[in-house]
Amino acid sequence: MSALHHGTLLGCECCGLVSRLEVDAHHSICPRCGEALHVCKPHSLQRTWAYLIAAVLAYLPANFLPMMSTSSGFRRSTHTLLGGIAELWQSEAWGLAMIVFIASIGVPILKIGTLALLAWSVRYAPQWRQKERARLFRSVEAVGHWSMLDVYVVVLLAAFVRFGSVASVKPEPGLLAFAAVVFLTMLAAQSFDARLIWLTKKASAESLLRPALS
Amino acid sequence: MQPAALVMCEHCAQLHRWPALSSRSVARCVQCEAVLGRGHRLSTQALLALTVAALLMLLVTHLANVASIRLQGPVQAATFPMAIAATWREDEHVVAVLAALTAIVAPALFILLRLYVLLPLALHRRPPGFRTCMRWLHHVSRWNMVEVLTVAALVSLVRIADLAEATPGPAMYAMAVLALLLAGIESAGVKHLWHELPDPTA
Repeated sequence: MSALHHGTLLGCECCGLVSRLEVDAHHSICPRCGEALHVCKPHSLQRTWAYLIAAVLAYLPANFLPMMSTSSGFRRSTHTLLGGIAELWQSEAWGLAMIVFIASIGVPILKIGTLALLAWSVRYAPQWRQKERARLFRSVEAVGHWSMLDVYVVVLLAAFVRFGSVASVKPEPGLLAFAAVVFLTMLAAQSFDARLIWLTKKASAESLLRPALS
Repeated sequence: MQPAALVMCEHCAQLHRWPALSSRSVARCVQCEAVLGRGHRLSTQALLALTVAALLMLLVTHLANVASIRLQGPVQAATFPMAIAATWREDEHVVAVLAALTAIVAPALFILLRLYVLLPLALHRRPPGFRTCMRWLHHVSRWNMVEVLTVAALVSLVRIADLAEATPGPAMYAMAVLALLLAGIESAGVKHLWHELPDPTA
């Protein structure tokens, strides 16, 4: 792994200071802000895979268990994730239905798939389209938290609709599974060290002080 | 405000010489093209003003009603903290905690820590506990999801419309403004604040 680094320099992601790592050390503490510095996030790939597998396991109940139940009068019905999107579509809120579909179905699937691809390629295809993989990781990080959308929707609906026996909305166990998917994929993205994408790139002395703007 | 001489790309560990960025220019990593820094930095005073505005919006977001719902006779209004409390009472404890952390605690820390740091800096003093605050600020911003909450509030209004008559409350507007303010404040980053410390050796 040491080929990745310019001798012993490490950048702090908290304050941006570049500091020198002691010989043979793999981690230290930023002299300016005190944040932990690592040559590479510890056990990055193992942790990413662990969170991803947990996310996949939580993803199934998140889709099949009901997210919430509504009761009005004597009728009581449960709503799954897809059911909620279908309801929005039927009430002609197409834009919102698309947003919720992308945020709740599209983002988690793409995120799990992309992170799995990235983690796999570090081992088995290290030099394959590095720039595109780096960009892919940045976009996954940027959109990841949007899947929290449906969790908030159910929390708000349950608070708005409390008319006793006339009408009420209650959260159901699928909500917990879905929130777990959101957080597990966020933790997976946070555990993945993007520097692993560039593992095979030899860092030469000339590249050390290349100008930032090319 | 002396820029640091070196900057290392967080995404690929490529080292760069830090250029003097003109306003509106963006420095990208030569290897992976991640953003290294932006040149549109707001002054400490401007940041402070935006943060105070964000604090006011945060208070409205969580103290005022998100919406009021009318079903035939009775009217039901709810604030977001009330929604979290209702979720807790339904025994969805984990969901309630996660929603509270991402929509209340994270944005509140994001704003309050910035205020705590920016006020003394605007007066050219070093805030006590600056290092700890800056580390917290670095970690807290990824958990702030006010913009997602804003869209969620809209979605929930539309979904209620079938059941009952829903009117958006002041918090609905406040959270939209808050999401924009926080995005603006965050784009300025926090790393440059290290160069505004009155004592450069610290």
